[in-house]
Formats: sequence, C-alpha cells, structure tokens
Amino acid sequence: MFNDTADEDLMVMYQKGEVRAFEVLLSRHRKPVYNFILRFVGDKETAEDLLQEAFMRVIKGAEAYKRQAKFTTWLYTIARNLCVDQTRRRKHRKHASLDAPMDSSDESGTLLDVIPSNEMASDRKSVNKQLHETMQRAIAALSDEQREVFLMREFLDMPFKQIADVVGVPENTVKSRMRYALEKLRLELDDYKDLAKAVAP
Amino acid sequence: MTDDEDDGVDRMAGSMRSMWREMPEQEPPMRGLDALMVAARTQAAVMAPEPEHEPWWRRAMAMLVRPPVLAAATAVLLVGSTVMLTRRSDDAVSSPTTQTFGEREGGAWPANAKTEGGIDRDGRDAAPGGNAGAAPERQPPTVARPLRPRPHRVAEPATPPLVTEQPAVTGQTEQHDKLSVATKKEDEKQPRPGDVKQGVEVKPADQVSEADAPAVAPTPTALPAAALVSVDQLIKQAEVAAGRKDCAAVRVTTERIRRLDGNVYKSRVATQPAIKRCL
Repeated sequence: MFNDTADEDLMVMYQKGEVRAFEVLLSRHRKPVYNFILRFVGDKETAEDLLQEAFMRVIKGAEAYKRQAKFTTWLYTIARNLCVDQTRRRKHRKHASLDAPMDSSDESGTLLDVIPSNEMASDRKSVNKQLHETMQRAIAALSDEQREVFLMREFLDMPFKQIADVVGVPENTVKSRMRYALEKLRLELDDYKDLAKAVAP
Repeated sequence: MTDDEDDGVDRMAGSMRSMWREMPEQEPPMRGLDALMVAARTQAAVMAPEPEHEPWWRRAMAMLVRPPVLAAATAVLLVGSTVMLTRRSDDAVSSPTTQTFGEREGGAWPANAKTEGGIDRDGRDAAPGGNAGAAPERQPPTVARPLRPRPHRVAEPATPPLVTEQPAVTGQTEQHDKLSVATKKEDEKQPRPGDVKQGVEVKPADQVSEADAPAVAPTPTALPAAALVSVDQLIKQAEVAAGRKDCAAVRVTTERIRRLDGNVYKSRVATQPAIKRCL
C-alpha cells in the first residue's frame, strides 16, 4: 500500500495517526541504520540499543517533523548523534585496548588476532573473513569525524551535501574529511590490496 | 569544492571500494521491535487530529438524513396519523349528533328570518317594516361548531317538523298568553327544538323515546330548560303521545307538566283517560 510512497509522505501520514506508515518507514530504514551504527560503534549490543533509541526519538519527535526536511537526513542525524555520544562516553571510560574483543560476542577475535600474519588463508572463506575484519579494524581506526563521513558516503551513498546537513558542517569540510579518511584507509589496507583483488569475484 | 573535486575523492575511493563493498550487511535483531510499535501506536493516538467539532445543528441534520432515522420518522408519522384518524372516527360515532338549524335548512339563520304569514321563528308577530320595535331583536342562534372537523359525521334521520314551527303555521300565537310571566321572559332565551345548545339538540317532546328519556328527563340541570316549554304545548304533546300509546313519552311529558304547574297537571292532565292509562 505504502511501498511507493516517499519517506516524507509516510512521516506526514504517521503524524496524522497512520501507524502503518511508520511500520513501512521502520522496515525501510531499520537495517541500514543498524549497519551504520554497528560500523560506527563496532559493538552489536550497543548498536542494538542505539538503533532502538534512534527510532524511539523518531517517534517522539514525529509531531515536530516538518515536511520540508528530508527524512533520511533527520534519521541519520539522530543516529549519528547517538553514535558520537556513545563513543565519547566510551573514550572517557577507557581507551580501546588492542587485546579487547572487537565486539561482545565470544566468537569475535581481538585486534591482535586479525593482524595479518605471513600465513595466507588457504581457502576463500577464511580470506574473506580476514579481509572483512581488517576492513572493520581500519574503519574503527578512523577518527569519529572521518568515520561518519566515510560510512555515510560509501555505505549509504549519501551526497556530500546531505552528509554536511547530517553532520552539521560545511560541505567542503565533509569532502576534506572524506579525503583524509580515504588516505588513512589506503595506508591501512595497502597490504591487503592484492588479497582483496584475489577474493574479488 | 567542485564536481572535479568530488570526482577526485571518488577516484581515490574507487580502487579500494571493492574491499568494503564486499562487507556483508548485518540483520538487525528483532528485539525491541514490539516496544517500538507500542510506542509508535501511542504516539500516533496522541498526534491523530481530533474530529472537528461541528455545531450541534449540523450534527443533528446529518443524523436526521440518515436512512434509519428517516425510516423511523416515517413509521412514527404513519402510526400517529392512524391513531389520530381512529380516535376522530370514534369521537364522531360516540358524540351526539349536532346538526344546527343552518345546516338543516341549508343556510345560516338570518337575523330577521320570517316564516310565512309574517311570523318569525319564535312564533311572534314581527313588527311591520322590519325588526325594530316590538320584538327584541333576536340574535341568530349560536351555531355550536365542533372544535375539530368531523369528517365522519353520522347521518341523522329525517326530523319531523319542529314543535315551535307548528304553531307558527297554524297561527297559534294566542297560546303564549297563557304562559306564565316567568316563562315568557325566559322564552326568548329558551332553546327551541332544532336549536343547538352546547352541542345537544333539543328534540320535540313527542319524539322523546325511551332511549332518549334520561337525556330529556328533568334533572337538576335540565329542569330550567324544560320549564321554558309552555304547559299547553306539553299537554298537547302528552295527548298526542297518549294517542300513539307512547306511554314513555307520556310519562316524561306529564312529569314535566306536573313540575311546571301542579294544578294544571291535576285538572287537565291527570283527568284525561288516555293519559291516565299510561301513568
């Protein structure tokens, strides 16, 4: 029924009491927002909590939503602010340790585990896993400002202008941060370039 | 920064993009989804616009034009009309017949109506040249109109000639001389047979039947009216009734005579054998 309806129209419908419109919004954006938060904070449990909180804020703020604002800009602003607050709190508590688990699950290894060894993974699956973990580590190594811009640009395909709106800085600053983020990633992943080419389909 | 710069940034990412584009997307957990929907419904109920408060008359109009209300109103109208018509029919049947002089004669009683021979309907000689003078002007009888129209009037059987009209035709004006003074005075106000007083027609005495007796019988309320009828007329009526062997009418008439004038009753009524047989 609402599949072809724009996010903004759905939000207006929800403002008029149409709960189904909110359900559609939730089904559309829950997964990308969750992955954005997960890549930002690097922790599944925290990501789940922040995802819940982000949509709760959408619900509470729905009454004040204006049709002129792009819904995704508003949504990712909320999510990004939650992530920034979370990382700030974590930095205050403790500094990331190299031997700390990458996420809360027992299966996840430590950063030391994924540091490349001379031994190459024998099969494609293990290579892929190694590559993804390396990638995750490299993203985590970016500064918050660079990481948020990188995630929104590369994983959510947001235009720089919209990223600038979400982050609340000029567009040029966003591009600059993006450039720095890519430079840093290149350095981090330079050793895995050949590996990435090998596993590429 | 221009589009060229955008392209430069994208070119930088292009060589590495395949590395992170291959990263799998994680499915969000279902935990907390119910709580979100509950909160969403609660908020939706808060945000839902309240129905507009229309003025009461607009709401009433809207309610009235709904088919069930129209149907109910039609039903009430039909039932009410039926009940009303039924009641009117019952009233018309049960109420006494009220046919006025005007209705009977086919017109209203004229102010100076005269019968043949220059005698008015009271049996008195009319003053020559008009109504001014001797006889006080008599107002046409007030026609007792029923309050409501009675469409189902019961047909009244043909009425025999009125008692007061008979002497008018036969020139019986001298009979009035024998009336008592009081009776004379009252006579002008006296209702005549055929007149209508308070919706009840005064019938000639000789037409009083057994069934009519209670209505005509002297009662505390009916007595003054009965007393206005002349004794001679009553004696005549009693004689006629006795001749017809209508003893009920004889008894009623003689009783009226006795009440009016006991001496006349003893001397002229009780002595007549025909009447005596009925008493």
